[in-house]
Amino acid sequence: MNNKIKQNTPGSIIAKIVMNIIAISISISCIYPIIWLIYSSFKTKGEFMTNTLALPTILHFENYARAFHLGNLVTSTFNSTFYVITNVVLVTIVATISGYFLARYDFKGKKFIYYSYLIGFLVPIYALLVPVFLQFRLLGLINTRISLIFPYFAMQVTLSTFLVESFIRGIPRSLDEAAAIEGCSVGQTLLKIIFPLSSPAIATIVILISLQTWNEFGFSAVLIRDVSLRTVSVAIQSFRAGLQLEYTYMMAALVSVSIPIITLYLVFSKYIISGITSTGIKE
Amino acid sequence: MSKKSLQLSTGKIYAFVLPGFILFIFSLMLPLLISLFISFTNWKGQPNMSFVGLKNYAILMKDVKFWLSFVNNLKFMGILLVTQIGLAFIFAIFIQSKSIYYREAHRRIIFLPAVLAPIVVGMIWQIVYNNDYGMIASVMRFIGFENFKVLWLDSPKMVIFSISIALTWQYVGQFTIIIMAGMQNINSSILEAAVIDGAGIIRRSVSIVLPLLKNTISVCVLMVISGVMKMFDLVFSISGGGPGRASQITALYAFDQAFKVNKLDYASAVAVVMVILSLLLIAIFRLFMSRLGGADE
Repeated sequence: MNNKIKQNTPGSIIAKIVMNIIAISISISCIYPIIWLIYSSFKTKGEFMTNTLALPTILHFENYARAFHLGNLVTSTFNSTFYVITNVVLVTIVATISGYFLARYDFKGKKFIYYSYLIGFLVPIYALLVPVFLQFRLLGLINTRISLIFPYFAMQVTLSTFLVESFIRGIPRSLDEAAAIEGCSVGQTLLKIIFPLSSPAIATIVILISLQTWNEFGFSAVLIRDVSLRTVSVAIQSFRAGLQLEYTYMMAALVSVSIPIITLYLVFSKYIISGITSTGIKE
Repeated sequence: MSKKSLQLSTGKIYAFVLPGFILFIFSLMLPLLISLFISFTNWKGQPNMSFVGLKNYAILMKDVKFWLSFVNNLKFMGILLVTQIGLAFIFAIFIQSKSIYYREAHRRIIFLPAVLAPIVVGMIWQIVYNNDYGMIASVMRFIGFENFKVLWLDSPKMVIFSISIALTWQYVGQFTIIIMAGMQNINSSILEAAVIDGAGIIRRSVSIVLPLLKNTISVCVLMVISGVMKMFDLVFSISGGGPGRASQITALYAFDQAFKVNKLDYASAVAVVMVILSLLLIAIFRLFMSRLGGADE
């Protein structure tokens, strides 16, 4: 009752309009730099420098062709995709299995494993740049495709395990007990009951791992030297170093490496938002 | 009964859990242990090494450049605690409000920058801040402030603040959504009672919502602290720690020591101290919060 009266007074209508304008300005300030980047990437260098904010008169798709050529983006896209896939597979398998056992069983050393993962989660990951470099230098594996797999795994496995573990805690225990009584082995229970039931959590970690592996820069910069082994994040850095003034090519490259991420977000924003926020709420 | 049916021999459990755990130890713990070991030596890549005890740590304790970079981390923390959480709180109140149309669209839009690669965000803001054809300079020219010139990234006094704006832009949506989730847990009857009592939106936000969000906010604070300690890519790409050392942070300092001046032994000590400082900050905050919580109840 009280609310209804309030909604119809002229004052409250003005308040509503003002609030909506503020909300829209908030959203615009969040997204405008991205939109600006996208349309600027289609301008010529001259157009960009004379009027930075204007829309392009013609869409210069050749900026993209140049960017792909100069940055070796085809090769690095392939490399980054390779790491995304290997990391998704490795981390998902390990996180689901260890998440399941940490959630369901008591065993000797469980606390040790749990706290090791927790410390791993709390260690600032880029404190590991030098340590990881030393490790692979001592192993003679600098500048090889295999070396990056390990720090990428380390970056993702702890959080993913915790996300899956807390999800499995929410699945009724009676389900895997019933499976055990029916004669399912643990492996079968995992595959046939836990995997399908945890699919929302698994979907979340798969998407988060993909995003963050694709975006990773530090380890890739430290462990890889060869242009042919570069990931996308290192490839776009070459625009900064070499072509300081070729802004339009650089912007085309930035858009190119961000398109897969933005697409993933547009399709799966529900999972991504819930995954990243539950990270915080879980704590 | 229920416990019994899920009995499994320890050996079998290990068969499932250990391969992953060993991979984790190899990928995360082993490098740290190697660094800890190297930090007690004088190894810079030469064939033989000798132990130097705590020498690297003794140098580190007196290394002004390292501590200045740690102070920069703390400065970022101070600024981001205010900008990210403060703005997120205000944004959350707006977007949560029932008078806003398309709330879901707003939610998704403001979160979008959080998924971009920090390295990309750094490069975008480098162009945004460019003194001649940057976005800000152009907007200023467009609205007639020809003489408005701020050396966003070139002034040692401005640079941390400018980078903080970029960081806030990237992550404020993430914090907004966490705070909105926290707000949804607040019993709406409390707010309705306040409306009936005549409390306006600002009054309601400050005296009712804010205190009830204590746990959510403390999670956000923890995220800012650990986020700043692991920061690297964005600063690397936007300023490289410059001008001079004005925006140097600990991760960049370790990187420079290892890869620019090739002091692998010393860089290892920096890495070890970084881990300790970061865990210490988290522990101090946890302790502070539990004290605060204890006093409350």
